[in-house]
Amino acid sequence: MKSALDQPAGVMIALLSGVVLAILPAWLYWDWLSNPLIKGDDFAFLADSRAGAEPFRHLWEPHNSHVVPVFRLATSTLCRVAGSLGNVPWVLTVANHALLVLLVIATGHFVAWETGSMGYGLGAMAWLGVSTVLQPAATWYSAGQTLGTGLFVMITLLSTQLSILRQQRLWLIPAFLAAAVAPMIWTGGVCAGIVGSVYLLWHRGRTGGRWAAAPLVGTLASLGVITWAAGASLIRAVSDSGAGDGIQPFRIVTHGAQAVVESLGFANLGLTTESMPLQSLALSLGLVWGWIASLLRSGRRPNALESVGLTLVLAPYGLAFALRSGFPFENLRDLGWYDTMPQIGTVLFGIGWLAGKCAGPRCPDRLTWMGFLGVGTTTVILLALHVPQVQQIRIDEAPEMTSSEKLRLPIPELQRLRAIYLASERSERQRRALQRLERAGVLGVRNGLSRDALRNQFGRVVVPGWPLAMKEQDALDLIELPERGGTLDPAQAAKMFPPLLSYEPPNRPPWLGAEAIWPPTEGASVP
Amino acid sequence: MSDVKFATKRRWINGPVGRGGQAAILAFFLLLPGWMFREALVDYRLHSDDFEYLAGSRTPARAVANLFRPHNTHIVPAWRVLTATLVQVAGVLPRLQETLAVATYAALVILMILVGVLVGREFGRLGLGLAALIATGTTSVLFSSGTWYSSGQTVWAAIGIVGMLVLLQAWRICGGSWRLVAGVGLAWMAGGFWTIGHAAGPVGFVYLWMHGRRRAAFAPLMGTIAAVAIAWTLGGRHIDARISFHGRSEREAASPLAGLTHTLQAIPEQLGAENLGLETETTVLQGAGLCALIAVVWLLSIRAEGGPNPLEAAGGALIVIAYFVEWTFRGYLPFSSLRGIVPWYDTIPHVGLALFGTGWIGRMTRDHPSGLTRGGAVGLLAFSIGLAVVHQSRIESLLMDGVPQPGEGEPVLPPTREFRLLRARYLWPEYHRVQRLDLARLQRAEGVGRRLSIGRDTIHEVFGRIEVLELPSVYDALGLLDLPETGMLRDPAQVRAALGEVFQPSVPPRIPGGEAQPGLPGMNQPPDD
Repeated sequence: MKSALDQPAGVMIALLSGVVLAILPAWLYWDWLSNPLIKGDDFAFLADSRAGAEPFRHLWEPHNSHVVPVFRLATSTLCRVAGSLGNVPWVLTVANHALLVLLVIATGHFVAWETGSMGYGLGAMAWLGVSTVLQPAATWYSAGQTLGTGLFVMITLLSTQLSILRQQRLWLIPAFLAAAVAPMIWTGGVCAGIVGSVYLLWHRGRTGGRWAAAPLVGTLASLGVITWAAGASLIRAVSDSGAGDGIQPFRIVTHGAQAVVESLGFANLGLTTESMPLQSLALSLGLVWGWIASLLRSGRRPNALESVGLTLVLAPYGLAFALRSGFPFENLRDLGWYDTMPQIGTVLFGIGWLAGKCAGPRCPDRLTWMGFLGVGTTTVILLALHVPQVQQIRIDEAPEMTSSEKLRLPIPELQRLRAIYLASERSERQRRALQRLERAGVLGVRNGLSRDALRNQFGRVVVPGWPLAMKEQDALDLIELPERGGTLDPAQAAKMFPPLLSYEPPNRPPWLGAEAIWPPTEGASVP
Repeated sequence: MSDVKFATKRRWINGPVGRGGQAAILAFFLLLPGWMFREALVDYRLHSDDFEYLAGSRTPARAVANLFRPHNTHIVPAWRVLTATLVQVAGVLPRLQETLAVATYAALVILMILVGVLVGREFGRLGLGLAALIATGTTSVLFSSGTWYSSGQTVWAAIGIVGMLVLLQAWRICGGSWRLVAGVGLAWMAGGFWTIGHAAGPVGFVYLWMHGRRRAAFAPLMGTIAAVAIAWTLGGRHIDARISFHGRSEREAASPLAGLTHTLQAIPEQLGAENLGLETETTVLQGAGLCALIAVVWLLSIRAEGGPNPLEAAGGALIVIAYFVEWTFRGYLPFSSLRGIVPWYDTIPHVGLALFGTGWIGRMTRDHPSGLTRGGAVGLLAFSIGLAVVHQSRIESLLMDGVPQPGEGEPVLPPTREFRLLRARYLWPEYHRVQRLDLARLQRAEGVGRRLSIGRDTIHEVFGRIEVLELPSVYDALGLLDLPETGMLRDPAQVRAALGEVFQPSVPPRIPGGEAQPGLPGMNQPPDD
């Protein structure tokens, strides 16, 4: 029995496992993928990414306190690829998911080569892909900045791994470049250089200590360019966001501990919980003690995966919570994309801990039947833990149920169907609104109109999903028209534009009682 | 030189802790749960089933009469004897509060010691025994059964189960059939405190079977079968399951499938998360996934050794049997309706977890020294303090839930955790004080009743239901009076004149300040006040 399980399962089985694990996140997040919706910051980035020189004008402009030229260029490119405004939600959703898949594959590849085990590589893919910790980033394009950053962190690590494996310093060039690009996708990308250098330092015997600085230098160079290009506007943005109001070191530690327990501990089991600062600190210390005790027991030092993983947990949380230490942790629980990079770190750390002593990067052994069985069991358990949580998130994202709905839809299965119906209805309305908006743009160009002229005539224009807090811009900023100029004949305008610019209210769900108010009045965006 | 210093330090860390030191840290570990539960214990209030059990055991004669009378679905003669003893120890009604508080905490201490002894002797390691002792008591999972007398039935049942295991272990090591007989006796007694205590027999069977004592393994099992048979014969026909099971018979209420799925959810939620001082909610699928995860990790760790050790087997059996039986009979309700309603259901499975966990750890740390080293003592101190910190916030939450919601006219406090906690810390002693005054009035009534020879039936005719603060509406405080059923004085006017003032119901306490304004108690008063 034992010898049969230790036999190689074959390349096809390994390949098939990899393909299944790369597809599984799409199945997990299908409710979002099948109902693409742009929301929140997406609109701000899209408004800045219209045709012509517009993307380049905003390239170094901070968004909140992030200067993200690469992300802006990527958004602009995706808009071009979409062709029509109505296709943009779909293209952004697919692109975001593609980032997740690439990230999962890159992490699996890195782990497989570091541990020399195909099983661990596939296990890392399963852990990262089948986890609701990445749900905010995987289902919202703007939060997907963190996926892009994570991918470039992994590219940094893969390049440094290759440089060690092949004993060629040439591979440090892509590592340098990836570490430089990462902060330009999202500020948390500064960790790319740090983890790249930590990894090289761990293997310094093979690379020479001096060259370990290459990724860090890439990141520092990138920060230099950002600071030089954004200049005063960056300082103003940081100051406006309240990030510079004073760092509270104790809160960085307690916020980090709470995030470790809640987001990396319980959320990785598909559960939600709320902890208190000292409680989390004690639990985190217990975890650290357990890890150190296991190291002492096995008489080994931390391996490269553990070192890199730990850095990737501590550095992004340290940075995020240093800038947010003015807020209590209760106010930060909803910022789920802060957990993306620490989640990658958790996977690296966890697999490293499980693998124990690793000799260094090498070509992974073939997948055995035992490894296949282990990966299969892990994946099934992960699905059992996270599928109910995904369904709960879908339910929670839907508008609050009216009292009659609470009576008619008492079980989660029905509530989920309601949530999917409402999400699909909203997604369709948004797509139609964007298509009409594009036709309005074409008409505007044909008549030599500007956005201001339309605004003066028809007031502020919104589409479903438009954030209520975003008052400086409106949906007209999404179309390719000049800001000012042109005059509008009122009679002609009244004939042409109202059907294109008017807001289409949500359909009343057929199951609603007559007494229910629809659409719900509360929410952060236009229903 | 530095090597010498390091070696000296290492020698000190690995040095043994003396008897005095051992006694001191043992005292610390045993007192720590008391400190964690201090507010609920110091200001103990009789509540819910306390009244019924006390009434049923108010006098030795009543205790004997009720010995096998079921309470809901539980036939608990040992518990009734214990309650009668405590009533005699208290002497007067106002002293019942502290007597029950001391008894409740003492039970927890006894249970901790027994678990420590069992684990320590099983592995021949004092440190591991102390770790088990700490893990058993230093937890918010036992808040209910460690601070409420009637909920503490489960602790006494657990004492019976673990006590039996200690005796079976002693018999296995030292021989002497009296130990085996005494163990069987304890298995019997465990079920006499609370029905799930009957798990003692199967658990004792598993323990001895895993030690290879196959024939003797049947002894505790037989003990439990005999205990169940006797209890059922003497009291079974009086069981009215409809009270416990919301109008259902046992057959209508029981659902083994729900017993299984509820168990799968209870293990990660109540033994897992709550033992980390956190609360979470699972679905059945998640519960199954988490249990499978634990099972896979455990099975992988024992793979090389061919099977579980006796402590793991006994602990695991205790968890599964206790939860499965409990939840099977609550299977008519979904798990979501049972969360937090019956926290005492977790006591025996928690003890099972302590045995299972330390059995597992003991297997993985065989090379550790048998005595307690200074380093080990520091580690245990850190472990116990860490647990106290981890559970503090949940205990505070339970304390806040332990006082009534703000009533009409009560000052509105800001809705923060800190203010809610302040309110709870103010109200716990107030409720304790007012209830104590009520009990003192009852004691006075008893004196007057005896002097004038008034029977309980006349009091009921004249005053109807007698109230005490926090007495559930289904009970009557009349039962707490040590008076004969009928007396000589039967004139209602005379009885009212004698006892009318004493039976005036008390006013439930509330935080001071009548205005519905935000602020601390007294904050809205002028500074001169």
